[in-house]
Amino acid sequence: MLIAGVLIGLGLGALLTRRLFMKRQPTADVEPPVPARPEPAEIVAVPVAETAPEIRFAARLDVGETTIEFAAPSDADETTMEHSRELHE
Amino acid sequence: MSNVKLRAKIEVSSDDVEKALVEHAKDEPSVARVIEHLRGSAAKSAADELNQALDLNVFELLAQGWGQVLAVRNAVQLSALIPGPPALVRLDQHTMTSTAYPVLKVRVADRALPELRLTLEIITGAQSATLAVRDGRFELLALGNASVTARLRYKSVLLKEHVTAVEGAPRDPFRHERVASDQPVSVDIPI
Repeated sequence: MLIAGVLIGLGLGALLTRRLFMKRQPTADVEPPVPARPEPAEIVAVPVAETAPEIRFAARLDVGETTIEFAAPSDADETTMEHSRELHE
Repeated sequence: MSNVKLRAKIEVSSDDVEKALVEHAKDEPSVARVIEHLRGSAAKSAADELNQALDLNVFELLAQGWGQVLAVRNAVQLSALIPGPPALVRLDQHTMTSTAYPVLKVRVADRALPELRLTLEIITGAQSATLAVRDGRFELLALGNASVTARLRYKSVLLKEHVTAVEGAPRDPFRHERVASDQPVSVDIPI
């Protein structure tokens, strides 16, 4: 009777010990994970550092037409002319 | 007379240049392709170049108009034929309209783009002007109050309107009353 009780206790102890061991190493019996197959590299457009093109400017002024208009009517005398000597006399 | 100048110079900003270039790009695909490169500091460089071209000699513009007046032409021709004292020609109140074309050349990576051709309209109103004519030439002896309006456009787009006065010109010696703003001016005319 005593022997039977010891054997049952040992059996239960072994069972509990195994369960505890299983909990601590859950993957112990699982097949090692197969390394994931690498996905094909995604093609990403990486902006290449654009070098600014050389820009040069030059400016000039092209002369066009000039017109003149007097405030007075055209038949009026819009100009006067005299010689400087007369001014000093 | 070389000291006739605008009281305030006509100047464009980088924004004005960008505005013109954007309009230009609408007509020119080759400009449209590089328009982003022409903004910012590039537009500033372009404005600097244009401002040098816009540094006008006002007297040259005025002289073009005065040279069209029959009395001035006759006096110039006569003075070339008959040596004598300077003839004075007084022009009463008048308005002069001059057109000039500031042109910006652009090269991107050694490739020339179509030129940006602006139009500068300069309207000068002068109360009077007195010219001294001698030896087939004339010079400005006196200029009454004068104002200048300048309009810079790209096609029909107004980029800048600038109103200023002319300074450095002597006052009209034929005016009887003198005002406090009159400044003595040294004009070298051999008589």
